[in-house]
Amino acid sequence: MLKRLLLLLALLTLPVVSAHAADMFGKPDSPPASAEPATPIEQKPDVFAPNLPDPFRSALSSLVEVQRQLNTRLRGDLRAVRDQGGLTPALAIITISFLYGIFHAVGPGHGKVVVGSYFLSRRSRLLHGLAMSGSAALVQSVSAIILVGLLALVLEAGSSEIMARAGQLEELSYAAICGLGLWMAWGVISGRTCCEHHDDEAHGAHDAHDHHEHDHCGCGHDHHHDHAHKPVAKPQRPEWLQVILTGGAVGLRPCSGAILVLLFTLANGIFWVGVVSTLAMGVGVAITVSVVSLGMVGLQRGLSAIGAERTQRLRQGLALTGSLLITLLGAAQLYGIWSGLVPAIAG
Amino acid sequence: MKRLLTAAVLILLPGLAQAHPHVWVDSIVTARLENGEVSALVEDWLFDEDFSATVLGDIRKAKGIAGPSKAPLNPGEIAKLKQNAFSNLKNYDYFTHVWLGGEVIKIKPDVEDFSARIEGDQLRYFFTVRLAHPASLKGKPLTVGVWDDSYYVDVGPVKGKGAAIQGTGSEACHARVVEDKVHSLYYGSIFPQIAEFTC
Repeated sequence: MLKRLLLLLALLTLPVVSAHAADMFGKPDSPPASAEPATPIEQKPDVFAPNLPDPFRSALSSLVEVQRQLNTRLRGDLRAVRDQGGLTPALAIITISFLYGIFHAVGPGHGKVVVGSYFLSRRSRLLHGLAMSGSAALVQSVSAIILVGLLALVLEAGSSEIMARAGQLEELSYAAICGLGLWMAWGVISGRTCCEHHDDEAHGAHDAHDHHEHDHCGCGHDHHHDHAHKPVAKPQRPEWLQVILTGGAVGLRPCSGAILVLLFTLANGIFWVGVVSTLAMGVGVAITVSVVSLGMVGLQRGLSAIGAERTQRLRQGLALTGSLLITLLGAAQLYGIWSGLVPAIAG
Repeated sequence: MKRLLTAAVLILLPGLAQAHPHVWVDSIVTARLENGEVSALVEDWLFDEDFSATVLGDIRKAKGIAGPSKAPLNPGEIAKLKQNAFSNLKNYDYFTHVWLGGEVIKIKPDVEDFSARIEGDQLRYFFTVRLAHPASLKGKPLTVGVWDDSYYVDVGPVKGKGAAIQGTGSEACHARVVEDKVHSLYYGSIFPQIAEFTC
């Protein structure tokens, strides 16, 4: 954790290298490669995505509406703290930020696909689900606070530089997700982190091995298989490390909503309120992402209970697919930013 | 290869999805009628407090605890504001989408009369978008939607007065705000509110 924080701090002192920094409207500050800068208007096709089918459409649009209302209330309460001070608006800010975090994370984004893929593709402990969601949300809050605190308060940087740095953190986050995906895949291939042997088919092969080498698998249910030789319950370090690091990698990308609240409170001399608000948002985000990860842990268990992954090989294959999907997601997002297809830090 | 990668990214887009929006704008669009045709649109954007504080903080170079002052903007500051937090929107048609009877109407790449002022905690922009060719509203409604395709910015008409029409002969015309159910935003979930002008 300390090491990662130091790395983060070191990163913030590097010059901005992002290919496409975002402007104040979350747009690349140079036009996308596909657009003709001279005549952007002529090039524009009048093509739009089809409407979502209705229960989903109205659900997503009411989600946006709830967020808009919470945001309006939050801004009102922030002003109240600035103008009058007092505990009541401060408590309101904490409550609203918390609710905002919950609803905000229900919408697209916030690493739910990465977290979901991880837990859907392998057996895990419920605690792993909570740990990954919690570390993602915590790192996300802390990265926004450090980013704004360090750059604006200490280095007196402007908001465009802060957004550019946030874009860098986002790229770092995707690169880390990509790397972790590969590491997970290696863990599966080498048999370090996944897929213990509690089924008949894998028996023969495994009895030949030294058992202790395989007990790291940590897929969380080593205890309900009835082998003659009970494996020694060892601390499952690789799995835990993977879980916490993946959460951290997802969270490295700060939420621009939190950055904007922090900048507003900083500009109004109530930075501490912004910090509290950001942390409360983080708790809300953690709850939503936990629901997703626990849901996936449960779904995975349900699927394996009905025999969807009967063999060791199948389990390994699934875990490998999940790992590679995570790698692919990280790589695609990096490519999206570097090619200008998706602006950095727009979430 | 590049096309292949792009396709891959687009396929993975649900995974790339981001939680939006982050900037809110209350807008008023006023169609300007000249010789019976609409030649330009006057836009009025009122930004939320967070965005306003952030942008002003950059312009006034007042950082940290002090925060930007609320003094009126001088011409130099307005020019800087335009450069920092407006001009890049040229590449996005200033979020302005125009149709005449369902046909796309182009706008000129440069706006006119850009100005800005501070109102309380909020920043307000005014600018005029010229249509490439004046549009005759005879029998055809002119519709103007102001939105950000990526939905990072949520632009919505001011309640009750988001659309207006001015100029000689505008007495016989009507301006109102309607819901556009064709051009949905944010994964097809949001129907933007657009201005509709009829004569």
